[in-house]
Amino acid sequence: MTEREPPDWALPAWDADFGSTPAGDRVPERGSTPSSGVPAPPGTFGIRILAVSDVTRAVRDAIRDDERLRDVWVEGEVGRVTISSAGHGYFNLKDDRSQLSCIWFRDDRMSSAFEARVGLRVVAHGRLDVFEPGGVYQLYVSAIQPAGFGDLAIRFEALKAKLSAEGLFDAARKRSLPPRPSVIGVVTSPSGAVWHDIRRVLERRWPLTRVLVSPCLVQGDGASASIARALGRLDRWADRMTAAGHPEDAPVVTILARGGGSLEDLWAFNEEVVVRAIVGHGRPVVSGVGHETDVTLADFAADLRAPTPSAAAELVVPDRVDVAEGLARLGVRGRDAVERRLAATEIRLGHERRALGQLHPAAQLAAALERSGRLLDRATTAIGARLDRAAARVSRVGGIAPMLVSARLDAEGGRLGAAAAALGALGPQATLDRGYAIVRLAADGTIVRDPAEAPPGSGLRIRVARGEFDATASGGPDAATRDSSRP
Amino acid sequence: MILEVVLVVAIGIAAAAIGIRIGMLLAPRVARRLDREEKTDDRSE
Repeated sequence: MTEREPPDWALPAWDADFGSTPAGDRVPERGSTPSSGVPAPPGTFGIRILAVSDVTRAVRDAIRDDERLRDVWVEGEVGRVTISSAGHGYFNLKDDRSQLSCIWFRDDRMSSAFEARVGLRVVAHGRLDVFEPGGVYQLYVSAIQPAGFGDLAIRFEALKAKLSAEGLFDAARKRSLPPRPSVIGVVTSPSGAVWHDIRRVLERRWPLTRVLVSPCLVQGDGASASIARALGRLDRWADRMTAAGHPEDAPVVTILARGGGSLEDLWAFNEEVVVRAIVGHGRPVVSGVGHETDVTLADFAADLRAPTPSAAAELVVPDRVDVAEGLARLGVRGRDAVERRLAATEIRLGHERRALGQLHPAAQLAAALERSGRLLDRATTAIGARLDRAAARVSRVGGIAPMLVSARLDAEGGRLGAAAAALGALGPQATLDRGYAIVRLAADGTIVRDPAEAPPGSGLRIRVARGEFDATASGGPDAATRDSSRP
Repeated sequence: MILEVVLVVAIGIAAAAIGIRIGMLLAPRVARRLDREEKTDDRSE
C-alpha cells in the first residue's frame, strides 16, 4: 500500500475544476456531478471536498483491489465473542498492538468443528472488506483453526472424546452428595487463595464439618500426577479410618479446586491421569476449577461441577441459616401436627368416653329404669283409658238397664204365667181332681200300672185329689179287667 | 347357717336377674301392646 500513490482525486485539487476528473480515476459519479458529493460552496476556492461515503467507498475499493487482502490468514487472540440471534459470530482478533474486527457468518461457523472462544489464539482465514454503513474494515472469516495454543484444544477434544467413549463422563456414574458431610476432603494447593476461600465458605455455612486438605500442585510439570496422588491419599486415609473403627473421621466428599488461569495453567486438570483418579475416587468429587467459563475434563469426570472453588464449597455443605430456618419450620409444623393430633384424639376420647358411659352398668340400669318408667306410665295411661271406656260403657248401660230389666221381667212373667196355666191343665193334680187316683206299692213306692204288679195281699198307697190312704190288694189278676186300650 | 344365707342370697340374685331378663324380653311386647292400646284410644277419640 505504501508503494502506491494515492489517487489524485483524493488530494486537494487546488486548481482543479469540476467536471474535469481524469478518465480512469475511480471516483464514481462524483467529479462530473457535484450533486452526488458535497458541492464546493462558494468561497472554497475550488477545494475538492469529499463525502463520507466517497471516502469509505475509496477505502473499500482500495482494499478490494489489494490481492493480498482477498485471501489472508490472520493469527491472533480471540476477544469479546458475540453470537447474533441469526447465528453469525462477531469477535475481535488482537495481538499486542492492534485488533481486527471479524465476522463469521452462520453457515461457515456451523460447518466448523472449532468454536472461537475468548482467550484462544486462532488462525482465521478469510478476506478483508469494508462494511460501509459502519465505516469499518473487517475480516470476513471463512474458517478458523487453533493456533499454537490450539494444540491443547485439539488434545482436549481428543481426550474428551476418548474418555467419553469409555463412559467416564456418563451421568449415570454420577454419585449424589451427602447432605451434611461431617468430614470434607479438599484437594488443592494449600498456599493459594482458593484454600482460604474454601475454608472461609465452609466456616460460614456449616462450621460443624471438618476439613481434611490433601495438598497438591495445581499447575506446572507434575501437577496432574500430584493431583492424582492427593486423591489417592484421601482414599487411603478414609480406608484407614474406616478400618480403625472411626468411619466418622473419614471424608465423605472431596472438593477438587483451583483458582482461575489460562488454559495452560489449568491443563493439569485435563490430563487423563486426573480424570481417571477422579473417576476411581471412593467418594463423590466436586470440581471447582478456574472461573465459570473455564471447562476442564475434571469437571466432566467429577460428580458435580461448580463454577468456582467457593461455589464448590457452597455446594458441598448446607447453609446453617437455611438449616436453622428449616428446623424452625419443622418445629412449627411438628407442634401444629401434635396439636392437631391431640385435638383429634381428644374428640375421639370424648366419643369413646360417652360410649363407655352408655355401657356402664349404672347407666344401663338408669336407662332400663327410664324405659320401665315410661312403660309404666304408658301402661297406667292405657289402663286408665280402658277404665274410662268401661265406666262410660257402664254408665251408658246403666241408663237403659231399668227399662231392659222391666221389659225382660214382663216378658218372663208372661211366659211364666203361660207355663203355669199349661202346668195346671196338664199336671197330675188336675187329673186327680177329675177323680183319678195314683196307686203305688207301699213297699217301694212304685206306681202300679198293671194289676199283675200288685198281687193280692200287697200293700198299696193310693193318692187322690185330697190326700193319700193305704189299701191292700185283694183277688187275683183278671185279664178281663185289664185295659185293652194299652199296648 | 352362713351357707344357707349365701344360698338364699344367691337364689335371690339369680331370681332377680331372671326377672330382669324376662322383663327385658317382655318389654318390647309390652311396648307394642301399649302402642296398639294407644292407637285404639286415638281411634276411639
